[in-house]
Amino acid sequence: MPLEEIPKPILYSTMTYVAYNINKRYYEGKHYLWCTPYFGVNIESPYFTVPPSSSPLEIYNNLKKDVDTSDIHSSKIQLNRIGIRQGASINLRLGVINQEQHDDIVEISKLSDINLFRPLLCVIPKVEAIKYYKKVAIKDRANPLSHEYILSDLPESAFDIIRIG
Amino acid sequence: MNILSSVLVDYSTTEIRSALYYLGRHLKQASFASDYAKDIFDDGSKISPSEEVKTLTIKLLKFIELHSKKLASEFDDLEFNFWVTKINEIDSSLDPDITEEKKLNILKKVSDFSVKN
Repeated sequence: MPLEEIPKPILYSTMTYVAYNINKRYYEGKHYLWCTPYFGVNIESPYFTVPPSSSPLEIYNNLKKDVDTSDIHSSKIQLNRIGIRQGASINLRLGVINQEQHDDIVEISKLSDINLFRPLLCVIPKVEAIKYYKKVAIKDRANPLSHEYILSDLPESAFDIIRIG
Repeated sequence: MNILSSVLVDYSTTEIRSALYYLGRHLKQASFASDYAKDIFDDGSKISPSEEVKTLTIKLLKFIELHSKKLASEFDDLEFNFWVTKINEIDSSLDPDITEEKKLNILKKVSDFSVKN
């Protein structure tokens, strides 16, 4: 369903503190987010379902747990580090950053203490998000009610950040 | 040498990094792929993965599944973590080493990080 037709006014996403700052410092304050109009997984809801790993609440809680317990082998955080480096690689090729900035980001991804991967909840008004979104392609077999959207180049002014707890 | 290294011969750093990234995406959603299947190569990136990257990703996945004697969708948490660690080990070794001075410089930049509000 196109984002414009979703009957919900707010989108939610979870990103890490380090990713937020890399976007702010190196990518002109523009953010790349996966978001959904549903904050948590509601298995009883007739309207919605996304994979638990895509639920902003679940992502937030899992990251927080790994950070709070200093789980240095956290697979989520390792995948985050990998994602940051891939993002740097893409943005270097696009000319958004230069080689020095790319190298900085790569080292940030490796050197960042686990605490820097603490989660931030992003709250995005749908009206702000519409011009920045791309719907996630879903294979034919997948649940057609799964609503996830990618927001690319979302400016800081378009969303708010909440820390829970 | 990392167990995955043999699969990566003759690929560029950029291709390897991309393939490892997409492999990680696949492993992350493999256990529920049948219900919520997303195209792992469709992540909204402004640069779509090349055919070489897709091929390498699949090669790596097949290698992992052959080595594990099971599909990625059947991995338990330990197996999943094992392979994510292997992926991260390789990915984080793709770049040249930096000096201690440079490391300190990076850590200084990180210490300046903040969040609005």
